[in-house]
Amino acid sequence: MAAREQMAGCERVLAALRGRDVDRLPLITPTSVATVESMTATGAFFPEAHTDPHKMAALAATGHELLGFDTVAPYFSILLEAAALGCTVDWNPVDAMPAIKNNPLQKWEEWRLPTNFLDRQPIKALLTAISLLKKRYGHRVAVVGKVIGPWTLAYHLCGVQNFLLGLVLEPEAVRDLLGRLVAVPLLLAAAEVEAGADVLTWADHATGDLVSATAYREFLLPLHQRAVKELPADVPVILHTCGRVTDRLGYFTQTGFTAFHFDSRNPPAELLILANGRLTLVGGINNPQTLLNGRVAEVKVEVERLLKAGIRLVAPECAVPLRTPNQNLKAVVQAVRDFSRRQR
Amino acid sequence: MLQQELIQPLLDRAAATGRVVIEIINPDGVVIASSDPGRVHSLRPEVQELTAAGLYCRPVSSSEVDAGATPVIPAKDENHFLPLTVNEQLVAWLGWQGSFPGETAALLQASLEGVLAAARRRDEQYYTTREEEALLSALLGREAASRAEELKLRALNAGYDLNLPRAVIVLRLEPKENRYFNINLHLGYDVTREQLKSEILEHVKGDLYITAQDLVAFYSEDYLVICKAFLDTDNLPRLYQAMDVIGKHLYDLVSGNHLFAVQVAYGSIVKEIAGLRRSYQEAVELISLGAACGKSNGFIDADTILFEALACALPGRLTSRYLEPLLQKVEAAGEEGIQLLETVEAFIDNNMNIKQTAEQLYLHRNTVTNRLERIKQLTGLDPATGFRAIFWLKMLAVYRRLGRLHQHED
Ligand SMILES: [Zn+2]
Repeated sequence: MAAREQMAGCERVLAALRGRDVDRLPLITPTSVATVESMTATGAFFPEAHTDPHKMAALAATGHELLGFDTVAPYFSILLEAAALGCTVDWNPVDAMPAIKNNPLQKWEEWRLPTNFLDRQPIKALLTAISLLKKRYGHRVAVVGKVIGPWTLAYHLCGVQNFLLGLVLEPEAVRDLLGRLVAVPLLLAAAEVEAGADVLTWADHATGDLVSATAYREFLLPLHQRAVKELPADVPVILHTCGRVTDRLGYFTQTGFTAFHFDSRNPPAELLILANGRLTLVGGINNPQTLLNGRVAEVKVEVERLLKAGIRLVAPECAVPLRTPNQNLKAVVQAVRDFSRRQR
Repeated sequence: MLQQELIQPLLDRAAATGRVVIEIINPDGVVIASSDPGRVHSLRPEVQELTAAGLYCRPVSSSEVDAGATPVIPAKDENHFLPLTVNEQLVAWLGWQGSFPGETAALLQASLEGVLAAARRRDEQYYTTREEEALLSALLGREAASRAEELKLRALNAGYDLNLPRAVIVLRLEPKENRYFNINLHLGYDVTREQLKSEILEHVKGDLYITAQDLVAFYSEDYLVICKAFLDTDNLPRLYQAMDVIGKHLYDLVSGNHLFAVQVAYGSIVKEIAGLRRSYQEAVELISLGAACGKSNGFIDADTILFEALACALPGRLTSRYLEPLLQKVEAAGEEGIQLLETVEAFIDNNMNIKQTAEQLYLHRNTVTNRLERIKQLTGLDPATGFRAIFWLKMLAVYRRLGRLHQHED
């Protein structure tokens, strides 16, 4: 079967994200697929794997080696920038994602990008892990880098509720802060690409439960548009936003991002119409019900349903829960490969 | 489900170009629309077979979609059928007899599916609106507290997390056309009004400050209610500041309409389902107090009607024990008593400054001094003795004014 494959993993991933023809549908993980099972198999455990470059690379490699994806994604959480920017992070035990313990930014107008940002430990570790993975895989596998957008960074630095109230009470201060924060993902994105990332995920949680579509348009869309112009041009960028987004996907199509990583709460048919060919859609598999608690057969049914609805890049909707059984993730890979074979 | 007025012209036009009879048949084989009206309600058993065989469930591959090629399902004789699907579900069959170019058929199929999908969306929107109204009405009902767990689950199904702290914002939409037309003519206002109300609802839902967590629905005829959600109550002063901005903003958003006068107010931020009803009642009370103070339009914040709200909130043991007897004394003195009370209120509002009070009331300073002396004799309260006396005199003036307005309402 492998003999019939004509494209290298990396080539396949890049082509599919750009909507071009591929020898078979690729298996992409815009966010983490690290599981406790994979940690046990490799000996690279959380919390060390968040900040130790070798453990980070070893755990990321399981996405390809153990599970069979065409990508490896070494940034597991969403808090490396936050930690580097002075948030106290609780890295948590092996089966929990890290959490923020305090939001250090009091005076928003005073925030500046630290000059040694890229040299701060968690960031440096990520960049090293990316280059280790690139060295190991070359074109066989695509290395997925990730950056946290200004909106989510503001949640971390200011506190979610506090920042959201800022939209109401100090809209100009919010605009100003976001305009400065966007330098963080831009700088990091360039460094990740330099280190060997083939694809980038841009996580920005302007999600419907927290903020209106109008607020996205007013505050974040112009920054996303600006960012796309300043990001490395030859690297596809996947926007990630959890939750329901049908009311703002039209705006997402105006950003210039290559793809959008979507949550299972969005009907795929509707998303496809809204994306209108201007954004490649990635994701769609329900994490808590299907991947964490479902059986292999249920995973396959869900993957088939998404593929039949016209989603070409089926993947978990977000970072998978850490107790997800690996067999369910392998079932995703298998179901996509089976479907792809039938198509030929 | 069929939008006859949209579908019939499509069928007629297509039939005219191809000189064929074109029909829409429901999955059970009954003709539900046809370019030949005589055929409606007739039966097509072969369609039942097609439906039963599940032939419409063909796999949709991207290449097929790209090419736009839709295979016509083979059928006996000269009858041709194409499935009409919405969200991958079969809703009806498109059928024709005779020769008809496949391309035109595919186009007709696509436009019919578009019409059906739009109708389905409208139905869903209608259903969502009704469910939200029902949910809101349950949440604000008397029994909400005892059904909290059930309501939480129901809300979760509709996408709302009722564990979040919330405040109730009320927008009262008061029809104002009666101000222009006193005669009860049927000028179509009811229809326009309903239409405008649903437009206002959509407008509010799509607003900058309204998120998917904020439950928005009508509660009774003219109250548009928003259960505004927050994540935590760590900084309550900041939350309430934001509520003021949002309240004013919503008033501006809605007040431009031509049919309704709009009053907006909000109640306390509450952490329990049981509190929502109280928060709602607080908002409604602010609105009616606002109206009592002559604010029948606008955002009514608690500060502008602080004393009125305070007078209303005084417990019975204080109003009955102190304010009622005082009011009786004042009213027993007739017109003069009222005049004295108004003078002392102006004196208090002018920071106990006799000169300013006299200027405001166009009186001589001595008249003011005299009246202050007389109210002291009448009530036993002397503003010069300190805040307690000032407080009761102010409350007395507000209490009388509110009481009089309440009598007018009755
Ligand atoms: Zn996510």
